[in-house]
Amino acid sequence: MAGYRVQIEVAGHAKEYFPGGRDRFDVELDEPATINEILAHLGVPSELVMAVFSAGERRDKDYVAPAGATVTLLTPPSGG
Amino acid sequence: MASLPPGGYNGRILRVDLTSGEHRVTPLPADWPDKYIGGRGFVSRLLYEEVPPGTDPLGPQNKLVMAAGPLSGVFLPGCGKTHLGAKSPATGGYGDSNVGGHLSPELKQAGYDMLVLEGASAEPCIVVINDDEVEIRPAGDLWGLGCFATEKRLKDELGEEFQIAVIGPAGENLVKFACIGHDFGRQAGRTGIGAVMGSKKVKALAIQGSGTIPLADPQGVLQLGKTMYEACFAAPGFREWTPQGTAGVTDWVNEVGAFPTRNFQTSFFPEYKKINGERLREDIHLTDKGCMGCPTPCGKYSHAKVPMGEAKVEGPEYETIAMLGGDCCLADINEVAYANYICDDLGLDSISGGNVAAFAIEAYEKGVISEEQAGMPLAFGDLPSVVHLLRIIAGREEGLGDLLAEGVKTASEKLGQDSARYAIHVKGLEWTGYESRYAPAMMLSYVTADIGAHHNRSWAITFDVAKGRDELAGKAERVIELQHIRPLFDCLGVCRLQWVEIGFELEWYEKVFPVVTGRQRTWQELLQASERVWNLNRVYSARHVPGWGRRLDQPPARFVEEPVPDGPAKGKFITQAQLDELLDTYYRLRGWTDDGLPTKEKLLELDLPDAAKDLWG
Repeated sequence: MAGYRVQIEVAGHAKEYFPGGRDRFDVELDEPATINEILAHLGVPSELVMAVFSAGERRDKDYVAPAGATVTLLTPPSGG
Repeated sequence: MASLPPGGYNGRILRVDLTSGEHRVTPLPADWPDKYIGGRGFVSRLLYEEVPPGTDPLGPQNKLVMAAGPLSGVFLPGCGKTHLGAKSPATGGYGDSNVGGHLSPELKQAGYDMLVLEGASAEPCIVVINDDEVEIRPAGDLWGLGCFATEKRLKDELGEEFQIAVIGPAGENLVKFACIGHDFGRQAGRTGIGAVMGSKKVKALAIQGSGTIPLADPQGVLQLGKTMYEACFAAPGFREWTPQGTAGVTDWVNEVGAFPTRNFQTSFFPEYKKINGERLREDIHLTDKGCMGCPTPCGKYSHAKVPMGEAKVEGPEYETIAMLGGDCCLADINEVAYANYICDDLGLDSISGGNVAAFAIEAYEKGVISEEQAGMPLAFGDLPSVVHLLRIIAGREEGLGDLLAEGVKTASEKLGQDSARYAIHVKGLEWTGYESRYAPAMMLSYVTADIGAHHNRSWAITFDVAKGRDELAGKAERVIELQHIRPLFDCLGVCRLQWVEIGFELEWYEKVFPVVTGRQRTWQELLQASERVWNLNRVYSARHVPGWGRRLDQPPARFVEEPVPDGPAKGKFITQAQLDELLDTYYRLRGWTDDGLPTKEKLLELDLPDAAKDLWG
């Protein structure tokens, strides 16, 4: 049984590079993990995420979200 | 026998002959909606048929075309997009640009799918369209005014309900990267179409429509449209993306080493955190501003304060931050916004404007341009230098201003002294906000884009990051795929940013197409139409510009010979051999010759027999 679970939301067209191309899914790990560690677990390059938000605040990729939290990952958009 | 779809189109093209002062309405060819969809596709087809090789881009035979897509003006997410095009004075080939706001909805409500400006007026004029009433009026004392004052005057005189498209002094003076402004801060910026409008002596277009847009299934549109908005509002990132808009990508582009800096000498600007989305939001932002039907307004209306003065301006968005900020090394968001305002008011494309200014400053540093020629000392990071250059360009002031007004390609050819090495363009169109020496798919996107160096046909840098930036395999396939997906939005008449920003699924457009038009089209069928347009544009430009193909599908020497000197991409560049390999694959996958031209078989497969005959006999 996993000891740590967070819900991941992926914003933007680059969600296609996440597992299954999904934009909402749970990640379960044995231990709490940083965003970078979660991305490594998913096999997604950290560089594909341009911003991280959780609980209404902008976070960096060393952030460890509390168990049960929702983490929103913004992938990069192209300029106008 | 083709017939017009029951919805999405009016079936009418308004043609205004500026030479004779007459106007007429011609039917939209019945096979165009199926073959070319609308917007960009209609612009492409009309120019192919009516603006032949040999046409002077700034002569009366060129035509300036505005077109709506079938979804333009229908209350759906991002439905405020308008496509404008002409033979480009920047490249000599097919040229177009897309603008948000409210023009195409108004054009469709006035009863037209397209507006075509033909000929040229002898005197400055404005064109006023009020449903079926079309009038060419003297421009009076508008000629010479900036874009903002012109639009304000016309709104005051005609009424707020009129939608206005204007040129500034740059367009009047036929600057090769003059834009068309709209809605106090939106621009059809690229390929110099503002100069085409200026060559016709048209200072402004004013459009008002009181009709309704035909819909095949109005109730279906209402229900599906509501569902589409709800899907946007519920999408991950909806709340987080909007506050900074496209400026929010500034940090990321620096962190992956792709930010144009010092005229693309390098790809990382150490002071980028002074000009990023956070500084925009915290320091100068006044309010958000969106186009018709937009659920995620990317426009950021701002108030810039610098020692030179103050300005209220829509922006800066990412491209402007990259080209006036990083590329000219302006390290204060106020300075970037102020230079943005100068470009917008003068009617200069802020992408090319920043690129050309940066080129001039590097040429000055290298002694190719003297202080006497420049009229003042020039320096990177110096706002007065940038503003001075923009002003002498827009005014085509004798000497350097007149030279730079031709764009970096021509300017470097005339200046000589190896300045072509750092004239950052493809085919005469200045490069935009992604330094691509460590992004092969993005590099291929730029060199093969149908209008010259432009990012929005295939924004493939995330693919480079996802699949490996040293990898070449798979890059050409992805570029081709994107070159069909992204321009398809321009054909449909909707904004692509909901897809890019918040991952709004492409399948929605396949679902909404039949309820608007009454025609079932699979996404693949729509993509094939987009491929048809892509190939038609390639033939168009190949017939107009000698060498358009492999010989011109090339970046400046800097990008294939000089490693990036510092930053995250330090030491990286794409060799000519690697680029050739990418092009070989790209042409083969497209069904083009080794020289980069569509084969006769490919054109016939795409139901373009006239293009096949024109190119191959």
